Amino acid sequence: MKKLFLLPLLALALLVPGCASFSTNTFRAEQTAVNLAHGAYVGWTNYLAEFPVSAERSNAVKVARLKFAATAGTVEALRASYETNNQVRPTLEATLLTLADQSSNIVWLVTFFKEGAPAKSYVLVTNVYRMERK
Amino acid sequence: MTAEQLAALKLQIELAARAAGPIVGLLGPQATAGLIIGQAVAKLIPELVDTVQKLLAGEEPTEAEKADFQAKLAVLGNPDLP
Repeated sequence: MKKLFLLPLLALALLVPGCASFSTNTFRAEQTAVNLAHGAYVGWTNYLAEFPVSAERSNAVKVARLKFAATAGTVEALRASYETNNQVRPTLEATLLTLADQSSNIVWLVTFFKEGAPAKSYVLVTNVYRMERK
Repeated sequence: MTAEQLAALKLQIELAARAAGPIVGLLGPQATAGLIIGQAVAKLIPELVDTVQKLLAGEEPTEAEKADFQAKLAVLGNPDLP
């Protein structure tokens, strides 16, 4: 469900028309994902400074954050490879989708832990998107 | 992109903004942390909008943007942080 929520980022990277290169579009999609995750993480650290959080929840965000960073590193490495070898493009696209998924995961986790439950509108739009994809 | 995809992206940005700073109201105006969070949100939204606009325009990243990207990635990948 969460993966579908960030698919527009990947769609932007892959389908943006014009003269921009695939590598540039990929970087912009990465940059957006990193900005989203970083913004959520800054909010999380500020929240940690003011409110007690269970070790389980703290660890869940940390694991999600580290996985995201590892995937972002992989995307960067693949993007560098793509400059000289375009055969890595399918792998790069798949990894970029995973990155978008993990960015969404951090945002969702932080919002969930701070607010208790995802907003109704979030569920609604995700369901609409899921139906559209079927 | 379809209207639904754009709506999903807009909602994702809104959700990130909420994740970045929904406790301002809980803390009250006297809390210093609230100001910090407010600044984080005020920075996040224009940054995201700017990034998406550059993505749509296919604009090449500048060295400053690459450095900012690497700095944020270093924070997110630091195992010593909570």
